[in-house]
Amino acid sequence: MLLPEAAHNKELIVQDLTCTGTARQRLMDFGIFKGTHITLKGAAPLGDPFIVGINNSTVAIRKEDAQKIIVTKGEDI
Amino acid sequence: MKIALAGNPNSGKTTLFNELTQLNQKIGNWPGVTVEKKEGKYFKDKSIEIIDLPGIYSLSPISEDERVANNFLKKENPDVIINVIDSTNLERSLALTLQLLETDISVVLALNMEDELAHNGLILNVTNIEKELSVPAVSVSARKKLHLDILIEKAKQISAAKRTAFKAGGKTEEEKAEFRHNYIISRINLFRTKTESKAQKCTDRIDKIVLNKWLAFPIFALAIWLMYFVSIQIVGEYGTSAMEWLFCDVIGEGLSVWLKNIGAAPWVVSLAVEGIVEGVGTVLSFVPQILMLFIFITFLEAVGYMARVAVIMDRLFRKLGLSGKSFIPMIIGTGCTVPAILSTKTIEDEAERRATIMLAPFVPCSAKVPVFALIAGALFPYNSFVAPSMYFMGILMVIIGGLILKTGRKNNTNRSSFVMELPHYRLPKFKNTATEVWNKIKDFIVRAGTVILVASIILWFLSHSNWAFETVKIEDSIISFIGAALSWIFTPLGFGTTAAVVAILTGMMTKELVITVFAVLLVGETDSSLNTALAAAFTPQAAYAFMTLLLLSPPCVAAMAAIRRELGSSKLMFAAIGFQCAMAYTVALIINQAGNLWQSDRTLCISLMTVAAVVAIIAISVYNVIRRKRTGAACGKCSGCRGCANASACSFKNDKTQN
Repeated sequence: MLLPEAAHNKELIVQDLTCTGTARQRLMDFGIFKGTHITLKGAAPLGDPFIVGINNSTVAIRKEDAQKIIVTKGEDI
Repeated sequence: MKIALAGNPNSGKTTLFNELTQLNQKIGNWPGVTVEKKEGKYFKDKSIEIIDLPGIYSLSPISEDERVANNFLKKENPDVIINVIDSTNLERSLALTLQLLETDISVVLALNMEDELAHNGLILNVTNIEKELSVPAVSVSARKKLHLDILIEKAKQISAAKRTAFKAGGKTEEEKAEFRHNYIISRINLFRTKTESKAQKCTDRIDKIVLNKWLAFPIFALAIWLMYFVSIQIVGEYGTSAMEWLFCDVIGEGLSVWLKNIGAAPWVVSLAVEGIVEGVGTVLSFVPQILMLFIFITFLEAVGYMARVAVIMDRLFRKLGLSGKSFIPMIIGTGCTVPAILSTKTIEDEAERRATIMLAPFVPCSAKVPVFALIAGALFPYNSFVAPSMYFMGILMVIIGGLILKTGRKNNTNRSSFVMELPHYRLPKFKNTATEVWNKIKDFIVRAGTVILVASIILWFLSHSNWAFETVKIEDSIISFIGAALSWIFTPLGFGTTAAVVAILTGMMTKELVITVFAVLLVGETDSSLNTALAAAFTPQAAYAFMTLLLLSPPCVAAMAAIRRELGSSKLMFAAIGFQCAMAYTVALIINQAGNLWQSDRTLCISLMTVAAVVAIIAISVYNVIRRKRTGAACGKCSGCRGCANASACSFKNDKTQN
């Protein structure tokens, strides 16, 4: 599924990044690769960007970029 | 010997730099505080030069500040790179380390934030990190000044020793990035043991409130209102009147008596008391308010709220052709517009960055605030919303200005990505906050002692002399001549008086001068207090229009220079200033004319305003419909074709935004 559709506060595993260019580079800069474990913590007040937990940090990712992160459910924490 | 500090944004490079050099560069808790390289000397050994660089995630820069760091590392050949690592986030930080190890510069790791490891549930294994990456590493805390000497010792040794290289597998940049990431992840458990992170839990809890759907905006508005209310209303009331008493009654009176006693000429007494003490003293009397304002801003910067504001505002600001990151300058700008304009370097998209530079000066800086405090205090003494309303008016104008600039842009598509780290909340250290506040307030005081002092003398001279340099009353002085010659420009705004006209003109240099002008020109002659003189000189609507005009006009010469530098050409700078002045004049005109109409004929005013509002709403809706058709935004199922999973089935297939 796409990241915005995932359940909140559950562990997710990144399956693929479909974005290109700087958006893709930025996600990788933050350590988001195929196989990375992330959690969706929620969204900003206006529904965009999304708040994503990765390792011991939190990053905000715009909807259009988040829609290009394909995830599957991981084991529940 | 040259040592460069490099590492991820918000990993504590500048904190380390400040400790090593004993300098006071600006620090804060959000990615992108440092946007230019800073140089200093190690305070224990002046032969060691230390260079602080803006944060980078990799050696493939995207934004302007990253380019600065990257260019330095590639072209200036430092002897050693101290790679500052956020120890609480090794997974990300060490990927950059591997990339640095691929260059031919020696690297030492500073595993920073040692003091925060326990709170994050982490224990580091420094020996394993050193062994696996074959690079010297020291666990340090820049904030607590732990092990900094050892770090420098290791840096000295490595520069003499043979450096170790790393080679990432893969051909493309992306394959290499993946290789480095996997290299770190496969060894991460050797580097650290991990238990539950209390810091993350605590941050999550605060974020639930601060980023809450319903609470986020009220909390932000409350924070800003509180900042102005406490500074201007509470501290201002007592602090400023105490300072005024000190300057006008004690120093002014004392100086005047003393000068008369030693037999000084009357014009000397007048220059000293009415010119210098009034002109400089009135500006200095606002120091308590400005101090309070700086304390608030510094706190907001240090605690970690800035990145949240960027996130909250991103959606809204994108509609204006800006980025959420554009909001950071709008908070820094409440202190000073110059660093606000510099901080736009972190905005990746050039069009967004330019628009932000043009709009950021609409946010009232700390030099504009005393003017608002003065006028609001004189004309609206019982209304605590007038001064903060200037901030929100500024933001409103950013929104309207953003829409105007966006319409003028050829390519309306929004190409930038927005991935921003939200740092852990952190209680600011008292010493750092105090230094930061002192640095800011020092500038204000220095300006009062230099620019404003000189300007006070010139103003006094111009208001006491005619073209033949004879001493005359203010009505016949050079300044009245200038005022009268230009008053037609400002009469429609409600303030064609000499003092107001001169205030606006001199205010282009720096905004505190507006206060000086009023103090010298209004008080000098009449002998009444500045408040009474101001209340007599303005109608309420003219006063509000005057405040708005000042709010939206460029803050000072230094800000204009910063705009020129960041926009890259004088032509663009004049375009920016022209745009700001046009906005300022138009809005001030509307306020004054609407106010006048309201006073003379309320029903007509209300009906006209209703008509204007209806026309505006219709115009906006029509514009939106046309725009949607053109760009294919919101074809029903998505917020725009870019990023939409249904884009291929979308009826707006020829949409430009898909590219």
